[in-house]
Amino acid sequence: MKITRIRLYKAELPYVDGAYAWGAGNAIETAVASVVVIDTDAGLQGCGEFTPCGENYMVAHSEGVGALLPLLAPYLLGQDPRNVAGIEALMDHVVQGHGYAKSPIDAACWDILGQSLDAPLWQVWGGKLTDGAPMYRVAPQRDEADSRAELDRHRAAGYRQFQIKVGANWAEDIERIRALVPLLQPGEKAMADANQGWRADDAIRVARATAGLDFILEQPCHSYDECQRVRRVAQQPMKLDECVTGLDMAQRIVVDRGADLVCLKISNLGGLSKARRVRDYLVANRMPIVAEDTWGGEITTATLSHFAATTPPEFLQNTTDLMNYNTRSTGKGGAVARGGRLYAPDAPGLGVVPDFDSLGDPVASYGDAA
Amino acid sequence: MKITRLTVYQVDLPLSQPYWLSGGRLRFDALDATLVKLETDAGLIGWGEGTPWGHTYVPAHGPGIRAGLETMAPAILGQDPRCLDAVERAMDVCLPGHLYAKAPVDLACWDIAGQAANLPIAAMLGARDEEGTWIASSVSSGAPDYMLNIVKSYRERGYKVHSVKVGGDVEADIERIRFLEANRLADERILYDVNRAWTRREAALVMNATADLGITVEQPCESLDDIAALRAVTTAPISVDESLVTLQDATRIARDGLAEVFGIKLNRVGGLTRARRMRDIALAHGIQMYVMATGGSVIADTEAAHLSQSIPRPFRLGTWACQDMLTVDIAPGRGTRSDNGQLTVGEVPGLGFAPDETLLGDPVAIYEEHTS
Repeated sequence: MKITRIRLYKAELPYVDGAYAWGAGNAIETAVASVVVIDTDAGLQGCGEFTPCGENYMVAHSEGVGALLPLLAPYLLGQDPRNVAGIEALMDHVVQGHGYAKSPIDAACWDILGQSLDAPLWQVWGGKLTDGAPMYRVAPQRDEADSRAELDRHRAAGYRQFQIKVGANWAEDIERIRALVPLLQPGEKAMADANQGWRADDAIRVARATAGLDFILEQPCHSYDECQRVRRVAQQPMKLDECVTGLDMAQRIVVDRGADLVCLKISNLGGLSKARRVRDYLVANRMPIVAEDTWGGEITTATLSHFAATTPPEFLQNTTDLMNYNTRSTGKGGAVARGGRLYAPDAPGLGVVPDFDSLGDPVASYGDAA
Repeated sequence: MKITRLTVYQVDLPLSQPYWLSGGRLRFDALDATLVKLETDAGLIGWGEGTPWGHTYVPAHGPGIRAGLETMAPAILGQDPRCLDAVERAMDVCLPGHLYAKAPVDLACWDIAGQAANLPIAAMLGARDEEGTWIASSVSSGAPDYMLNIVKSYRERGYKVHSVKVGGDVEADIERIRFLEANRLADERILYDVNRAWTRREAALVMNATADLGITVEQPCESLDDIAALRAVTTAPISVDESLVTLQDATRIARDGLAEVFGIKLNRVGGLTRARRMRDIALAHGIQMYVMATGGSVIADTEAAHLSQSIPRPFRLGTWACQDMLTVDIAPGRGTRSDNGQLTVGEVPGLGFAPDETLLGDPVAIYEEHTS
């Protein structure tokens, strides 16, 4: 089997609720999706998606895929996409780094491999260990009665994990944490996610001021080293996210005991192949993970759902139904969110196909359909 | 002063001899250069170049520079180019990482800042030494005789510093190093450049087998962790090149004593604003520097030369000039030119010259501030 054509589609995905605020005063209203569609001489077609949470969230921007493809395409055309590790090595040989831009190609190859075996990716990867991955909801920030009512609605929908958005103003953040955490019921979890937004000294103040409260402190500061300065004094479990860029960082975390939970964003790690290696290493060291990506539509979420489904449930903290954050789709089919859980599709490969009606015309095309 | 227009040119710079990387699997006939022209409301114009060494050498590629400029342009327009740290910060907020895409913008701002101050960039960086910097030769790996002949051909042209590529078979590398050291002149300096090719074990074997020669080895292994491990079992001075990307890398190398030489490449570290900080860390720790753009036209060579000329002589190991490897010159008769194995810069403010725009073709992108 050979790759005969590679196409790139781009689509602006509007946020379902107006503006999505994260970290130190950042907000996005639309995210730009890059969808790569790979055709083969066997008639099989694979797809993958990379969508950043705005251009400045991580070392990853939406122009990056279009910039990379003209360099990679001449080498990828004619390759057997089922040789996924070979494709990964080839891409790393032709262009170093830029893993986020390679991640949709990696996903599309896994998609084709799965289809060629008539098996969903979760089966190719060794089986479904988690049937329905738990999800979280952003916690309400209203007066107490309204917050309780909203939490009850989320509970009725099956959610048991709540994320408190912090990171802009540390003094107000203390009050947000103090207001929400006491509203939780036994067995429920809260995560205060600063998205790298606090300075280390302020993060230490937050951790001390909320010392008696049970919640997870997530990526308080920009770098790993700054987060460790906070961890030295914080009693809360720490979750690291943005600074986890590869196996090197995972090794540091394990050796330093630098976190209690690790969020794995597939594109931030350079695609499914690399993310799987990091996950397996962390799980082997009994480190729970979060199966995530930066942002995305149906294709990203389907990819994510297989990653989550093949993670042992005792080491899977949660995942996200990213496709429900947008009003425009990138794919048809894919993962299903139900009862607070995300279910991976059983159709072969990723189990999602590009939504060509939504994506419009390709912005770049290499090779021929033949 | 405000940046009012950002114009992007893409130019292929053909190499006089094709370059092979990694066992010949990828061959380059040309470098993909991106030239950035910044215009201001004060009428001053600045130029900056971003030319990666192919697209397989480090995480940097030509289309990636243009993609980065597309994302960053709105944040760059309207900035005062003389406020270099503010421009740096605006770019960092707009697009994390991708330092190589920021370098040409930073360099064009230095050009304007120098013109505005009526000083050459080297003087803006603190000093403009009149005495030139030695250009290192580039000696490709092969049989010892073959390599010595290349050294001799450079020697005849006045070169005193040689960058000798090793990093293959352990026994062959030991033989190469012993042979070249036996034929090295007293006033010559050789850097044995491994370009990350050895494993920790291979590096330890070669460096220990040649320990009596006192050679300096550049980037023997992949990462700083590798070099730190190697440091414990070897004595040869080390130059860190590809693993020196950020100021955090520089401070770690200096603090932990991982190297005696910083290889500073402007394209990799993100321009002069960041390179200057590395220079100061190096000076504070008695570390020598080997400065270059990475590759590119005479503009790139001159940008690096300004930094070289600002470094006190004892800490200035050498530089590298790409201009002699190219068959196209986008600024004929202008810029710093290799002179008897040395590069220097003159007194003209800023970079000191502009390319011949008629040789650049049409711009591939123009970004302008929208006035409404």
